[in-house]
Formats: sequence, C-alpha cells, structure tokens
Amino acid sequence: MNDNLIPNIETKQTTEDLRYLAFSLGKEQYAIPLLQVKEVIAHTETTPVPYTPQYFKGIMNLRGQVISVIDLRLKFKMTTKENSRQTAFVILDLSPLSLGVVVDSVDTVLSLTKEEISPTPDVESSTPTDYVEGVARKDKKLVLLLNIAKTLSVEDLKALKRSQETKAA
Amino acid sequence: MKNMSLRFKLFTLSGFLVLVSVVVGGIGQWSSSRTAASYAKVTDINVPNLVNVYEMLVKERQTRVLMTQLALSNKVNDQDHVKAIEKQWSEFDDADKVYNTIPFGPGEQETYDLVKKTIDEERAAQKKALDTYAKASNEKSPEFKQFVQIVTSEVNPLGDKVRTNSMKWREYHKDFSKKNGDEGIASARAGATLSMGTLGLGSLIGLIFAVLFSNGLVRTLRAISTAIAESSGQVSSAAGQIASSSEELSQAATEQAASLEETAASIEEMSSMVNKNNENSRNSARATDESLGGTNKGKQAVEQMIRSMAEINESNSQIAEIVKVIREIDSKTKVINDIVFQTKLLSFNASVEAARAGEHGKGFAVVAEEVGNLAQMSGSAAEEISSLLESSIQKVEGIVGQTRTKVENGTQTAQSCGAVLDEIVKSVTSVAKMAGEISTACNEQSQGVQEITKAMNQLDQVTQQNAATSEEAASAAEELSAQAESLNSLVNNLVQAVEGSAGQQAPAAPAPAKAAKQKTEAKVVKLEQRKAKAEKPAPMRQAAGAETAPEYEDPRFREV
Amino acid sequence: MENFEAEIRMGFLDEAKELLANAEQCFLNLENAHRDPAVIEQIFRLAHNFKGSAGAVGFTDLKDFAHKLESLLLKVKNGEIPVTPKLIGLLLRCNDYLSSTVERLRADTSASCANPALCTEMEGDFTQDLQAEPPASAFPPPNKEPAAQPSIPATKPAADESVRVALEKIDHLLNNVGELSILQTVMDQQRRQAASNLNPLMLKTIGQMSKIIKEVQTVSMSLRMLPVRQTFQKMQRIVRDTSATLGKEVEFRSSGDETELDKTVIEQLGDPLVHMVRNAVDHGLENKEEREKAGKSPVGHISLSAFHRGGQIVIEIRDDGRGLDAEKLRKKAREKGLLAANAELSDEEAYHLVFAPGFSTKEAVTDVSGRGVGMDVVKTNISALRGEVEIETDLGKGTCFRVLLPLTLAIIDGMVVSVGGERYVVPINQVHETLQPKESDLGTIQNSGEVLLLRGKSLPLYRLDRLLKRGAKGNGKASEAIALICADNSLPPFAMLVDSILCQQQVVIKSLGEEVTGLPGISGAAILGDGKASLILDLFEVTSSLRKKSKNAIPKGAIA
Repeated sequence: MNDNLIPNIETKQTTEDLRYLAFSLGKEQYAIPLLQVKEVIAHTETTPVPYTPQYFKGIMNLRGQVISVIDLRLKFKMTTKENSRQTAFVILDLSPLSLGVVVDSVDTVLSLTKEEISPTPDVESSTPTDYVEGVARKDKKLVLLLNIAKTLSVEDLKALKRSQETKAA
Repeated sequence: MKNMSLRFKLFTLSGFLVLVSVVVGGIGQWSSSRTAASYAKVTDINVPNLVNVYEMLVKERQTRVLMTQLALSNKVNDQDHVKAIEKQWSEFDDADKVYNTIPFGPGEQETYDLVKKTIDEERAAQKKALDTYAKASNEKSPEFKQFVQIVTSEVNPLGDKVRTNSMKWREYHKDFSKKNGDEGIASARAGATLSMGTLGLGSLIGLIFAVLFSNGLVRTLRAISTAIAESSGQVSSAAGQIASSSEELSQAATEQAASLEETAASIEEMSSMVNKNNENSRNSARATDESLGGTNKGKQAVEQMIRSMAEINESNSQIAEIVKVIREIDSKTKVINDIVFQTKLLSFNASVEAARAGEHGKGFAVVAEEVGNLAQMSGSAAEEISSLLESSIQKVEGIVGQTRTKVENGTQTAQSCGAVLDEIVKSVTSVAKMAGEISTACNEQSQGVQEITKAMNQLDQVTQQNAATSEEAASAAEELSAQAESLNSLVNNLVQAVEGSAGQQAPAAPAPAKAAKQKTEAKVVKLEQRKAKAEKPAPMRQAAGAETAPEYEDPRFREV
Repeated sequence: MENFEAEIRMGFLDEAKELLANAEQCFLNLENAHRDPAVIEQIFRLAHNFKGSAGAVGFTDLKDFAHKLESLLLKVKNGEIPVTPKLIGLLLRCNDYLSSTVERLRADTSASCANPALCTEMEGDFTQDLQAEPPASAFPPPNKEPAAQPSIPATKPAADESVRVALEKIDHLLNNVGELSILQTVMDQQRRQAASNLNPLMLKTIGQMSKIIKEVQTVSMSLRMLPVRQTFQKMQRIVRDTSATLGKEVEFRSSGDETELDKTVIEQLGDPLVHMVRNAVDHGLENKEEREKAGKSPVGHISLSAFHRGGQIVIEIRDDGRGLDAEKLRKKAREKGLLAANAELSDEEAYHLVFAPGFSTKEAVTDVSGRGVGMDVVKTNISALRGEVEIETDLGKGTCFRVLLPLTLAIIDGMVVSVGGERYVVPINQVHETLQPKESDLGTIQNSGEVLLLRGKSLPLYRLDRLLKRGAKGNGKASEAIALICADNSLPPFAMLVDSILCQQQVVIKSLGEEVTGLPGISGAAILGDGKASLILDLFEVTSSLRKKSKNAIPKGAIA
C-alpha cells in the first residue's frame, strides 16, 4: 500500500514542482515528500514502551490519538544531540501507519523540479543508501531525499516485532 | 613605800598608832569581861549554892538536934518542938527549891542526889519517930521509948551518914567556887599581860615606822631641795643662754628679712612668667580650635565624597537594573524565538495542508511558504537581537563592574581618609583640651604666686615682730637669772630646815648645764614638729646647732 | 437546490436501508408465524412507507416497484393470496432487489432500477395455490411489493424514534469527549490542590461539571453500542438460504439478540459469523439420511446466542451435527502439509486446525463452503477485535464455536501504577486485591522464583519492572512496594509487585499503531489525566510467557 502511495504523488506532480519538507539530522539535511507529512509539532514528552529497540522513542498523545515516535537520529545510529528548542516531531502519514519521527530541526519546504533531483551518488552519509532515493542541490547544500516509508518499512517494523517477541520470550 | 605620798605615809603612821591603842583597849576589855564572867559565876552560882547547901545542912542538923533534944527532954507532947522540927524541914525544902533553880555544874547532880537521898531517908526516919512520939503519952510510955529508940538507932546514924555524904557535896561546892575564883584571877592576869604586850609591840612598831618614815621624808626633802637648787642653777644658766639666743635670734630675724626681700623679688619674677605662660597657653588653645575647625571641614568634605561615591554606586545599580531589563528583553526575545518556531511549524503544516489540497492549495502553499520565510527571517532577526543584547549586556556589565570596583576603591579611600581625619580631630581635640588645662593651671599658678607674695609680706611682718620679741626675751632672761639666784637661796633655807643646820648646800653648779641642754633639746624637738613654720625656729636652731645632732642641718631651711 | 435534493435523496436511501432490513425480518417472521395478521399489517405499512418516501424524493422506478409490491401485499393482507414458502421466497427476493437497488442508488442516484421480471412475477396469479417452485438458482424477480410508506411521521409507530448519525461523527465526538474528560481530570486535580482558594460556587460548578462530563462520556460511549439483533437476523437469512441450497432442513434459533456491542465490533463480527454459520450448516450438520441413521431428528438445529460473561461478550454458534473428529483433522493436516508428519497435537489443538488457511474438512467443494478460505478469516478478524474463539465439540453430537469479545473497545476501568518512575494502566478487573507485603511474606522457591505468602497460600510473585525489562529502576524494597493480586477464573492467581498505585480511573483505550501491536502484555494505550500517553498492560499476558514456559507447550508454532 505504501509502495503505491509515493508513485501516486509523483504522477500527480510530474508536471509541476515536487514539494518536500526539509529537516536536519545531525549535520545532514534530509527531505521527504510533503504529502507524506501529516503535521509538524514541537518536541513533546513521550512514554517509553517496553520490549522495543532504543530508537523507538515511545508513544505520545497527539490530540487524543496515540502515536508512536521513532528517533531517526538513533535509527541512523547518529549520536543524538540534546533536545534543543529546534527539536521537532514530524508526524508522518503513511497509511495505515501514523508515525512520529524526531528530527533535530525542521528547516523549510523545498520545491524541486525533476531536473534538480539526481540519482543517488556515492555520497558519504550516515544513512544506508537504500533509504535514499536521490539527492538535490539547493542553495549549494546537498539534500538527501529520503524514502521514509522504506526507512520505516512495515517489514522493518515486523522485524522489530519479531525481535520484541524473541526478547519477550 | 617610797612611792607613797607623804600624806599617805603620815596617815598610815597615825592610823597604825590608833589601831594599836584600839587593840590594847580591846584586849583589856576582853580580859576584864572574862574575869567578870568568872566572878559572876562565883556570885551567881557558887555563892548561892554554898548558902543553900549550908542552909540545907544546917536545917537538917537543927532537926536532928531538936530530935535529940526531944528525946532527951522526956517531955511528952512537946508540940513546940515538933513544930520547930517541922519548921526546920520546910526551910530546908525552901533552900532545896532554890538550890534546884540554880544550874548544876559537872558532877554536881550525883553528889546532890546522894545527899538528898540520905537526907530523905533521915527525914523519913524522923517522921516515923515523930509519929511514934505523938503516940507516947508520957515519958515512960513505950512509945516514948520507941521514940527514943528510933531517934538513937535510926535517925542519928542516918544523920551521921548525911554528914558523911554531905562532906562530898560541900567539898564539891568548895572546889567549884575555888575554881571559879581562880579562873577570874587568871583571866584578869592574862588580860593585863596581853594588853601590856600588845601595847609594847604596837609602840615598838609605831616607833620603827616613825623612824623609817621620817628618814624617807628627810631624804625626799633633801632630794627636792637639791633638785631645786640644781634647777635654779640651771635656770640661771638657761637664762643666760636665752639671752644670748635672743640676741642671735634678733640677728637672724634681720637676715631673714633680707632674704625675704629677695624671695619677694623672685616671686614677682615668677608671677610675670606665669602670666606669660598663661598667655601662651591661651594662644595655643585658640590655635587648636582653629585646627579643629579645619579638620572638621576636611571631614565634611570626605563625607561629601563618600556620599557622592554612594550615589555613583546607586546609579551603577540603576545601570544593573537596566541590564536586568535588557535581560528581560532577551528572555522575551526567546519567547519571540519560540513563537517564530511555532510559526515555522505552522507554516509547514499549512504547506502540508496546501499540498493535500492539490491544485486548489497551490496559492495557499505560496502563502504558507512566505509565512515560513517570514518566520525564518524574524527568527534570525530575533536571534540577532538576542546576540546584540547579549553583547550589550556583557559590555554594560563590564562597565558596571569596572565602575563598581573603582567606586568601591574610591569609597574605600575616602572612608580611610575620613577615618584619618577622625583620628586627627580626636588628637586636636585632646590637644585643645590639654591647652585649656594648661591655661587653667597657669591661672591657678598665678593665683598661687599672688598668695605666696601675700604670705611673704606676712612673713616679713612676723620677722619684724620676731626681732622685737627676741629683744624682749633677752631682758626677760636676765630677770630670770636674778630670780634663779634668789630661788637658790630659798632652797638652801629649805635644806637647812629639813636637814638641820648641818644640811648640805644644793649641788647647783654642775647640774644646770645638763638640765639646760635637756630643755633645749626638748624645745628643738617641738620646733621640728612645727617645721612648717620654718622661718621662726631658724635662729634657735642656729643657737643650739653646735650641740645638736647634725640631722638638723636640713638643706630645706637654707633654700628659703 | 441540487445539493438539497441530493441530500434528501441520500436521507431517503439511509432510511430505506433500515426499512428494508425491518421488512426482511418481517418476511422471515411471516414464514415462521404464517399468516399472523399483525405481521402482515406491519409489512404492509413498511411497504407503504417505502413507496411514499421513494415517490417524494423522485425515485419513480422505486416508487412503481414498491407500488406493485404493495398491491401484492394488500392481496395477502386481504387473504386473497395464501402465505406459502414460494410467496415468502418471492418477497425476500424483492427485498433483496430493493436493497441492492438502494445500494446502487447510493453510488449513483441516477441509476436505473427497473426490474420488469420481478414485476411480472408479482403481478402473477397467486389466487390459486401455486405449488410450482420458482427457479431457485437465479434471482428471478417475482414478488409482492416490499413495504414502502410515505414519509409521514404520524403514521410511524411512535416507539422507535431515532436519528441516524455517521459513525465518523460519533468517533469524533468520542475523541473529543475523551479529551474533555482528560481536561476535566486536570481541572479536578487543580481544584483539589487549590480548593481553599476557589470560591464555593466555582467548586460546586466544577464538581457538577465533572459529573456531567462523566455522564456525557457514558452516553457517548453507548452511542457506539448497538444490539446484535440485525447481525443475528442476517444469520437467520444465511441459514435459510444455505440450508435451502444444500437441501437440508434446519431450524434456527437465536437468543440474546438485544445484547449490545460496539458498532465496530459488530461490523467486524459480521463476516466471521457468516463463515461460521455457513460452516455449521454445511459441515456441521449431516444430511437427512445421515441424521436419521444416527438416530437424530431429521431437522438440524443451529442456535446463535449472545450474552455477557465476566467483562466479555460471548457469542455462541452451536449445532447438533456430527462434531469434529480430531483424528481426521490431524490426518488431513498432514496430507496438506500443514502439519509435520511426526508432530503431536492434542485434541484441543487439533480442533483449532479448522482455522488454518487452506484447510477444509469437506471432501467436496460446494457453493457454500469447502474451498478452504473462510475460517482463517474468522480467526484473523476476531483476533483483531481482541477476541478469542473457543471450540467445544462432542463427536457425533455437535459443535460449539464460542467467540469471546471484549465488551467495548473503547473504555476500561484502570488502575494507574508506577514502576520505576513510569506509569502503566492495569485493567481493574484483573486485580483481585492489593496489599503491601511484609518482608517476611516474601520468599523464594527453588526453580520457580519468588513467592508471596498470602493467608497461608503461596502465590508466584513477579516483579513488573523485571518483566518489562525496564532496567533496575524499580525500588527493590518490598516494604514500600505494592503487590497486586491478580486472579481470573481460568488461571491460577499470582502476585505482581509494583512501586505504587497512583490512582484508579476510567481510561479510553487508544489503539497502538501496527508497529507496536502484539507486544506481549501490552494491550493498548491510554491518555492519563495529565495528557500523557500511558500503556495498558494485560498482566495475564505479561506473565503468560513465564507460565507457558513452565508448561512447555507452544501450539502456535506448530500451526504456523
């Protein structure tokens, strides 16, 4: 289902600019398609969940809805900074999943044309290259376009679940 | 004895003599009363006893005689005779009664009882005989014969027995009387002897006393006259000495007057010095007052400075207040930053919504992005403000800090300056006080000098008087000398009166000097006690100086 | 205007769906109760209403069709036409047709919906007792007019006044009510903290508001609750259709159809029930001959019942058929390679093989079932509802599938406990008792861990902090810890040690995302009074792995 979602957006927007939300993780800048974003909120408190890996930050209350929050910095095995004023949660809409991810800061909304996006070069990055769909250069800065669904794929989560089960057992 | 006064001695002596006569008299009285008692015994006891004994024995004999007569008479019924017998017995009884009233002596009772018993037996026999006689009718009757018989065989033996027995009794009374009489004689004799002895002894003692006493008295008188003689000698010599001393004294007084003059001059000088001192001290007091005013002004200035410093400090803290305000602005800027952040998020969310709205949201997306950009810009502006504020805070704080330390230093200096000034004020005040004290002292001093001057004048007068007095003293001494001579002759008279013409002359010559010396010493001691009035004894001291101890060479006297 | 028209048309269609559901029930009743005039009257009224409403909103085709149905029903009402199974069949087909038409119209209001075939059938001659069966295979359209009434409220029975509301709105309402109650809790806490500072009116108001909010919450929770009646009716229809197709005579009985269930649960429950009911008719019940051979009545019995049992809803599908043969199941599983040849399975575990995908006990694949799909859907759907399926079977006598469902998906009474600084919600119905154990009550039994001595019995003791592997943050001191004694009918009791109990409150169950479902013992999340999310624990599940370990049986692995 998730796999269908992204091409949909692309087909819809091929003729126009593609819009991305850019955020920072550590020193690197990432962007995800704006349509996968439900909303952006300031950092709030989360409740840790037993049996989950470290990058699973916990659950939080988003206006009555319980949302799981994943710390992308930990997921990418970056050293986490202290939560600053800029630290934000990006709530993703990956139907059926609604997930929150912690990012160091949300920077801007990017409008990219197809020409501006180039396939993944062998750039040095802390991110596994599978998760990166492409790179864009904006204001002399390299932005990694993240396939967030893949990054937080159901398979991955299932693996997570399995690990929990074995842990629990 | 020697300590007793003459009067006491005389009194004692005569007292003793009176005592002796009283004792002698007492003894006489005592012995005569004893003698009297002995004789009283003789008269009161022995004599009546003897009388009664005699009476009783006589009467008894009478009875017997009458009985015998009766028996021989051969007359019967001779009533008269019987009656005579009975009369004799009643008289006997009377005597016996009297006898019994007189107290019995030792051993008297037994003898009496024996006699009485025998008499009573005889009496009973007589009675029996008489009864028989009464029965006889004639001289031949048996009764008569019996009567004669009884008289001869019974009454007469008993009568003999009475005689025998009464011998003892009479003897007793004879002895007893004799004894009492002897006693009286003996006691009279003893009294005489005792009074004689006592009288003799008392006279002897009185004599001894008198001798002793008169001897002492003479000795004393002699000593007195000797002493008077001596004294008069001494008086005369002393008078001589006084005369010479007076002379010296008058000379000394003259000298003293001269030195007094000198002293007065010195004191005058001193007075003027004191006045100068006074003036000076007053001047210095004025000067210290002035310096005190100066330091006070200085102090005020320093205080003013400290106040100013404090004001600077205050304005410094006001600056700090401003810093606080800036900080608040800074924190508000942070709030702005937060708002910017929220706005940014909002703009993202708006972008998301716009994207979802697809074609319709396009315009809105632009707006959202614009809002986002604006938020970004205001964010960076706020950031800049924040950093500017930060740096200005730092600068202001630096300035404030520096000013603060400087002001603190200044304040400190001013404060120490103030403290020093305080110190000075204190010193000057004390100096002023001391100068005042000096001035006061000077005043007092000048007053004292005036008083001394006054005293000197008085002293001068006194010295003049002294000179005059010493003249008078010299003439008086001469007179005294003459009178001492006359006294001496009087003493000689006394000595003669006491010792008789053979009495020695008063030992005048050697003693007076000694006495005079002693007297002078005593005077010197007195003078020394009065050394405060040193001027006066000076001539005297000089007069006695040669002889007296060097301790009187007191330098103090010379200085005056 | 167009919008308005579309709106009223949609409103009609919603209403029509309900009317048709009611009508279907009535037809089925008519079949059972034969010619009950009251039922016929009700059907006639329904049809009349339908016709009126359809005409009013401009669905002329529907109106015409309903008119014909009404005419037919009038004849039935008047006794001109006897009630036969054929008639009922026709009526049901008409009903089905109308339902499908309504559905089509919902998608596209302009869709054509004429069905001349059924119209002809309805106009056919029922005056004679037509015994000839209509062709059963297809869905030919003979029948009486379904009830269609003009939308005149006055003619409606006053009993069932209701408003149709979109579920989405209710969910929205519930979400907000949940938030409201959270706010209320916060306010209540504030009120308690600042009770002395608030004025009495305010306190009273807040207190009253709390009550009202609770009431609102209860009511809004109940908005989602619907009786299972409709679903059960649907099952009756399924039984009727299936048995007709298979030529089996089946008597269907239902009970407890007033039992209320969460709307979501009911919706999700529909498919599994259909599968199970079909299975019961097809596989569970034997055909007439077999039944007679087994000495049973030729008519099979299927009963469907719903009731509460402990905080759960139980739905039972019971048949008196042949029952499940464990041996046969095992054999088949091996044949299909679903079970390793040497794997051992208990009977109970073997029964559950029926839920394995691609497993069918029926030799021949029929229209109705046997293709091996279905029962696995049952299992999946019911698990999704946090429900369970139990199978109880007696070979030769019948089978009972028991579906256990939570009463509601939305709310539980919870106890908020604290463990190592974190808060968890424990369903209060799992906690039998709480106590603070003494040190002396705690002990260790070799090979089975810690125990708590409670009134002479020793219960296994677990420490929640260790079970959750949240690090050694819990305070180890048992003297301060609280033991929750957990007991259930089917499981042995045990004690769970937590740090403290914070409060007891109703919590709205929030589902966790797919990414975290299935964690052992974590059954959901709740939002606590301070607005923070907290996990809901199932203490039995938390400890189940430990219990299972001790039992050494893992049936799930065998099936997978």
